[in-house]
Amino acid sequence: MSQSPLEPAFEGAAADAYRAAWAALNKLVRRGYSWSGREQNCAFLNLGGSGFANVSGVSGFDFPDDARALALADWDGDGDQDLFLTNRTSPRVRFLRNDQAGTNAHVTLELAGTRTNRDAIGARVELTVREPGGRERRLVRGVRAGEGYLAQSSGRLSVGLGPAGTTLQRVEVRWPGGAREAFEGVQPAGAWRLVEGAGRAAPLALARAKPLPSGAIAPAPVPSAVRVPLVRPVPLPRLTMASADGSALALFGIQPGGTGQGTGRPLLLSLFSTTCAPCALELAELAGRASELERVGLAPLALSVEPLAERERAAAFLEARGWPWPWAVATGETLEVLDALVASLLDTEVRLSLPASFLVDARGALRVLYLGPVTPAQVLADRDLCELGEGALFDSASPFRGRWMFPGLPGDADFLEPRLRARGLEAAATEYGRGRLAVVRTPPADLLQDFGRQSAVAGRLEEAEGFFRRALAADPRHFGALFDLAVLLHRQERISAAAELYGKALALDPEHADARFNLALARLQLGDRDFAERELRWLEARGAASAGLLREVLDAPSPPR
Amino acid sequence: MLLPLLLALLGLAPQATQTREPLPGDPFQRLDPSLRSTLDVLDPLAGGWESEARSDAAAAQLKRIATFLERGGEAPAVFAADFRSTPPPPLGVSFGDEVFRVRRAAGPAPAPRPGSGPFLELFTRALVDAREIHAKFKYLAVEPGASRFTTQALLLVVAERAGGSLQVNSWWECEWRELPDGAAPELVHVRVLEHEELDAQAATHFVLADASAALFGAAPAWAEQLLPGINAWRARLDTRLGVPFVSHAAGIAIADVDGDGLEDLYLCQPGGLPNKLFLHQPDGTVRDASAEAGVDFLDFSRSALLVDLDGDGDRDLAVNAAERLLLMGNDGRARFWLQAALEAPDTTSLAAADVDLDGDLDLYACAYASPYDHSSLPVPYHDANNGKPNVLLENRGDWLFVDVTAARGLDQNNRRFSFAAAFEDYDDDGDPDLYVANDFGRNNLYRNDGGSFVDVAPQAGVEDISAGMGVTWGDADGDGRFDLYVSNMYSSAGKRIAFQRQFQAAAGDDVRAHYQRHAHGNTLFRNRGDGTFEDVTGASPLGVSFGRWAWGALFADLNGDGWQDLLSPNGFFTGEKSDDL
Repeated sequence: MSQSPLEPAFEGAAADAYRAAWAALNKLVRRGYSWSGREQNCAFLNLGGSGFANVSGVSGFDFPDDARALALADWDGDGDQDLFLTNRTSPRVRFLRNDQAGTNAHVTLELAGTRTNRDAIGARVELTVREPGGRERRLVRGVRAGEGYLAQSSGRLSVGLGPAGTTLQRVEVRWPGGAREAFEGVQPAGAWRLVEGAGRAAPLALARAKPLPSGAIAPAPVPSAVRVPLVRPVPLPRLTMASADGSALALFGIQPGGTGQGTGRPLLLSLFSTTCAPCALELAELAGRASELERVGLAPLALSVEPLAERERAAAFLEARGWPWPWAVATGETLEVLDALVASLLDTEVRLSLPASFLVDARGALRVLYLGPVTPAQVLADRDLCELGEGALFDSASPFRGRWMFPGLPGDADFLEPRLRARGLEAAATEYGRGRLAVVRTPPADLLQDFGRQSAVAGRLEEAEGFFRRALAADPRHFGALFDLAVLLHRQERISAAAELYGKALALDPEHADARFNLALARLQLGDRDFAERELRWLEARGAASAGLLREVLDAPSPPR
Repeated sequence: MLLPLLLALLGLAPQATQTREPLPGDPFQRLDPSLRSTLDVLDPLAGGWESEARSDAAAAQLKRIATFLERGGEAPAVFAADFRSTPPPPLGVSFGDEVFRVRRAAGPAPAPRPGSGPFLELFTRALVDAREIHAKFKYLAVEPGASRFTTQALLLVVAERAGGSLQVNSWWECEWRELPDGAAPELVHVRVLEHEELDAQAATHFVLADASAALFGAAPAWAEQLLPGINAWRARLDTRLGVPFVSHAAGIAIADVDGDGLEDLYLCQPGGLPNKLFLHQPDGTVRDASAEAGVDFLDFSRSALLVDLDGDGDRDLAVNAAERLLLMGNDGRARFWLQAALEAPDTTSLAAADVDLDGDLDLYACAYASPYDHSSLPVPYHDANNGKPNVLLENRGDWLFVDVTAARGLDQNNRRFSFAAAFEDYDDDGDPDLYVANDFGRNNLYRNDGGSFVDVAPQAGVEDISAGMGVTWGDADGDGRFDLYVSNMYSSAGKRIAFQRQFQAAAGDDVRAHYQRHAHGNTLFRNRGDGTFEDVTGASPLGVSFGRWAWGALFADLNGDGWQDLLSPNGFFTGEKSDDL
C-alpha cells in the first residue's frame, strides 16, 4: 500500500491518494478481477518436532477455494480428525474426511466440568504415551470454543498417539483454574468421558458410520437469467426518452418527500435492441400473452437502447414480434441511470447487459429486476409484489424461508444519491437528495396499532383484534402490534395463541420484561411451571418489578385463572 | 492488499463468457472515465514499478516449464544457449511413516552444470509413473540489474500415483537475460535453493477425501444455497439484504446440540440466506433442522458458538445476526429459545472462556469495519488504530451478560481491525489468556492476571505486525507448551514490491520494514515458557510462512502421530476473470 499516509491525521494529498487507491481496488474487484484468487490451501506436516514440510498437494487439502473457516471433528468416529471448511467460492462448505492409511493409535476424550464450566472449555489434557520402542512422549491438547477464524471445532479431543502398540502411561486433566486430576482407565483406540472429580474415565459410545462416498463436486449451474426482487421499492428518478413518433417523453420522477411518481398502474419496462436475439424472443412471448398481462393491470413498455435515428428499425422489429403496447427510445442518460441503479442494488461495477427488464409499481417504484430474459409467467407471478408493504418484502426478497431478526435498510437518499453523483448523474442524484427532506411518513403499522388500542380501550375487542392483525399484515415484525394482540387474546383466555404471540414478540426483543412476565404467566396457565420458574429467575436477575408478582403467583396454591 | 500492483489491465482481453448480449455501442462497452483514473492510480508502470513488468515476463516463461512438466513433449524454448543450473544436493529421507515420506536435499551444493536437459530431468525423473500432474510456480522476488535480472520462484508439483500421491517442492533463483525488441527474457541460470520430494499413501490418492456431496447432498439447502458461491449470490440478491463483497459470513460451529452423542453443525450465511443447523444422522449424513430449531436467521451472520451458557448441560447458541449477538437457550433437544440480543456491531470471530473462573462461560466478540465494503479505511495502513472495539461479555447468570471490556482491561489497544481471537493459558497460571489477530497492524496478547487483562504482546514478542486473520494454539515442538500460529497475508506481489527501493521511499527504514513484514505470511511463535515467544517461522517459502492469503489456520494431526500439523485455508477473492490484482 504505497499510498498509505503515515500519520493518522487523515487529510491532504496523501490521504486522497490512499482513499482513491482503496476505491480503485474495490471497483476493480467488483468488475470481476481476482485478488489473490484461486489460491490453493496449504498444509504443513510436522516432522516429529524438527520443523514442517509443505504437504498441500499430497494431503489433498489444496483446493483452490477462497477458503475462510476451518473446523475439526472426528465426524465418522474412526478416531482421526476430519475437517469442515467454509469458502467464499463454490461450494461454500466442504467436508474433508481423513482417509490416512496408517495404523497409528488414537484416543478420543470428552471432558466435562462439574465445579468448572460444563463444557470444560479452557481445560487441557496431558497424555504421557510410551511407544513400542520404549520412547516416552507427553502430548498436550486444549479444549477451546472459538479458534482459527469464525470457527469452533468439536470439543471432543481426537488425539493421535503414535505407532500402533503405543500405550498410555498417564492421563491428567488440568481444569480451568489450574486444579489437576489424573484419570484412570483410559485405553487407546477408544472414546472416553472424563468428568471432573470422577478420577476414572467412563467409556463413551461413538457411533461409527459406513464411509460416505467421496468425489469431485460438480460446480453450481450458472443461471442464464436472474430475477432480483427488491427488499424495498426504489422510486425511479425522472427518465427521459423519445416516444415512437420522436417526441420527447418523461416518465417517473421523485416527489419532494421521497415518494415516486408513477403511471397509475404497474409497468414492465423492457430494454431491447434489434440485434439482441433473446430480446426478440422475450418480447414476442410477452406479446403472445398480452391479454393475460392486461387482465392483471400490467402495462408493458419496450425501451430501445439504440439511437433515435434508428427508430424505424426498432419499430419494424417490434411489429414483427406483434408488440401491442407503447414503446420508446431511451436517452443515454436514462440508460446510465438504470445502469447506476442496478449497479447500486447489486453492488457491482459490471455493466448492465441485454435483455434487462424492470417491474415498476403504480407509484413509480422499482419492485423487481430481471437480468436476462423474463417470461410472461414470471411477470404474472410477480404482479402481486407490486402491492406488498415494506415489511412483507423482506420475505419475498429472500429466496428461502427463515426468520428476520433486525431487518434494517439504508435510506434511499443515503444509499443512492452518492452513487449517482459519483457517476455525474446530477439530476437523478438531486431527486434522491430531495428524499432527505422527506416528511416522515407515519408507518401504517404504527397507525393501525394505535387504532387497535383505541378500540380495545373502548371495549370493542373484535374491532381491536382486526386492527392489530392488519398492522401485522403490514409489518409482521411490529413488536407493539404483536404484544398488544397477545395481551388482547390473553385477556380473552385464548392462552395458547397469546403465548405464541408473546414468543414472536420476544424473538424481536428478548429483553422486554413485560412480555416475559406475561409469557411466563401464560405458560404457567398452560401447566408449564418449569418455564415460569426459569423466567422468574431471569426477572429477578434484572431486578424487574414484576418478579415479585410472578413469585406470588407461583407460590399461590393453585394456578391462576 | 498492495495497491500499486495493477497489471496493464487495458491490454488484457476480457475472459468472462458472455451469456447475455452487451448493449450495443456506447455507453456500455467502453471503459468509463472513472475506471480510467482508477487504472492510473494503480498501474505499476505509471508508479515506476518496472520490476513488475520484468517479473511478469519471467513468469510467462516459467509457466511454459510448468506446462512441460504437466504434459511432456518438446522442452520449452526458454533456456539460453549457455544455460547452466546449480542442482540441489542429493536427497535423503528426513521423515517417514506409514502415511507420509519426505525426502530433502541436504549437504553442500554440487557444481553448476551446463544444459537444460539434465536440469529438466531432475523433475521429470520424480514424475515417472505419475498421473494427473499439476505444476505451478509462485513468483516471489525480483532483483533488477543492467541487462540481466534475477527472480525467485517456488515450484509446486503434485501428481497421483499407484496407492497414493507425490509432490515436489522446489525453490529456485533464476537469472534472466533481457533480449532486444521486446522478446521474452531467456533463462541463463537456475540455482535450486531448496528441494524436496514427498509422497503419501491413501485409499483414494490423497489423505483428505472430499465427501461433501454425500454428507450434505440429501438436504435441499446443499444444492440450492451452499453450492453457489458468494459472487453468484451477489449477482441475484438485493445487496441491501446484507451480502457484502468480502463476505466474511462463513462461520461454523460444531457440537452435539440434540444430545444423541453425534456432533452437529451450525453454519452462518449472509443476509437473505438462512443460517443452517445440520443435525448429524447415524449414517453420517445430515438433516437440515434450521427452521424447527428456531435458528434459521436471515440476517447477515458471520459467526456462532455452541457452548453451554446457562450451565444446564446442553449446548446453547451464541450467534451474530446483523448488529446483534443473539444468545439462545437450548432445551436439550435442539429447540432454541432467544434469551438475549446484545448490541455487537461488526462482529467477526467469537470466543468463549471462563475468564473470571466463576464456573460459567464468558464471551469475547471481535469487531472489524470492512474497508472492502464502503464502511471504513484503516489508518495508517500498516498500524491502523481506527477500528471498532472488541467486547468482553461477562456471564452473570440467568442470561445476563454485561460488557466488562474496560473493567477487565481489554480496552487497551482495542481499536484495531480484529478478525479472530483464541483463549489459551499460555503462561500456565490457570486462567485463560487471549490472543487477538488484527488486520492492518499489530496483534494483542492479553495476559489474564486473576481476571484482569494486560496487553503484553510487545514484551512477549508476538505483536506480529501484519495482516492478521486467524490464530491457533498448539504444541508444535512437543515440549508440552502451547505455541502460537497466526494466519496472515502472504503476498508475493507484496514481497516483490515492498523490497524495491522506491517503495515508501520517503518513509524511514522502520516503516519500510513494517510493510515488508506485511507480506511475509503466517507466523509460528514458539512458547519459551518464560512468558515470551520466539519467532521460529523461518524465511524459506517451503516453510510454514507460506500459508498464502491465509484465514483460519489450525493445528491438526493429519496422520495421527501425535505431532501437530498445520492447515492454512486461504485465498482472498476469486473473480470470474483469471487476472489477479
